[in-house]
Amino acid sequence: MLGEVWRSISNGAPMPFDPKEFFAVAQHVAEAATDATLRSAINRAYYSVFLVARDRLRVDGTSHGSVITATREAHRAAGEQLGELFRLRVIADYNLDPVASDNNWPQNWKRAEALAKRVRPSVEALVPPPRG
Amino acid sequence: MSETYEGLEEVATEPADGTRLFTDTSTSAGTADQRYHYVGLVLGIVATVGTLSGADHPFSSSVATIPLTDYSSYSGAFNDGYVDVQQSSHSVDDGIAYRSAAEASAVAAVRELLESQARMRGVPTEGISVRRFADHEHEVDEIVVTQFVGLGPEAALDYWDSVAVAIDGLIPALAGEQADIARRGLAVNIEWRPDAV
Repeated sequence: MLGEVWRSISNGAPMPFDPKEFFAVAQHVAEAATDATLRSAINRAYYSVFLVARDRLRVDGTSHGSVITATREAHRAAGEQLGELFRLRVIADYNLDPVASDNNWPQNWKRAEALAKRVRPSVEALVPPPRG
Repeated sequence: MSETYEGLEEVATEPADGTRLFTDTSTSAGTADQRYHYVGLVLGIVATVGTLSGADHPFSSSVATIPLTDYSSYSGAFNDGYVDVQQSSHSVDDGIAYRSAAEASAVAAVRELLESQARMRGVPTEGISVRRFADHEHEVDEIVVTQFVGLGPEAALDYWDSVAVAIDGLIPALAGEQADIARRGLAVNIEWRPDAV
């Protein structure tokens, strides 16, 4: 249905990818509940929000720091929560031996999942800054 | 691993509620940077003011937290009025803490705000940790002030939303450099109880 609407207003161009699908992937992947899948799920959950924020705020490039800062400036709570998702994601992706408090992956995933669910609507509602 | 740093002095304490104020004892901005050590880390440096007495906290096995309700348990950690900074074993370098007096006072202001917000809203708290998080590849380098609350995820997220509004109110009241740090170099994090619903 959404696809048909999009095609009717876009001269048949394919509908842009909705990062929300990454969150569905995250939840699916997390079901296996191993450290590897939970780390991967956190990564996807983060990108499901980050990409929306980058899009809404029209931040050029791929600087995560810039997107998080811009989100904080537009909506502090969303920016702070996106920032925490980012930290979880960095630990998940890069840190093979985190400190004990950061090394509980079922717990980290639950936190990331709750954060992504909370942040997504706020980020979707962000108003792009004026051009110029 | 624990080090004592000059430049941060505990100048006031309120044992009843754990409120703590710090001031910079250096008088020259030029020497401040020499006193404060910067460590560029990928992640995971923990710089915590005080000492660990919350070892039984579910997420503080290595992150030092300061119990707000038990001042006496950590007051002994201070060494001649200087802050004892603890780091996690994850640190790849010695030294951390604050790069400038403004950074230290911005953190102190945010801590104070978090503590007052929790009191005002009747939120049970289990401590505050201060960590530096840096990931230069992604242009992120900030101090993360985490307040541990005895709430479940939804209530904690609601509280976090309220705290964020209060932070927005705090920033204009800070001095220029502190405000800039609070705006761009400081993250406020609320950690809920993982076992709470």
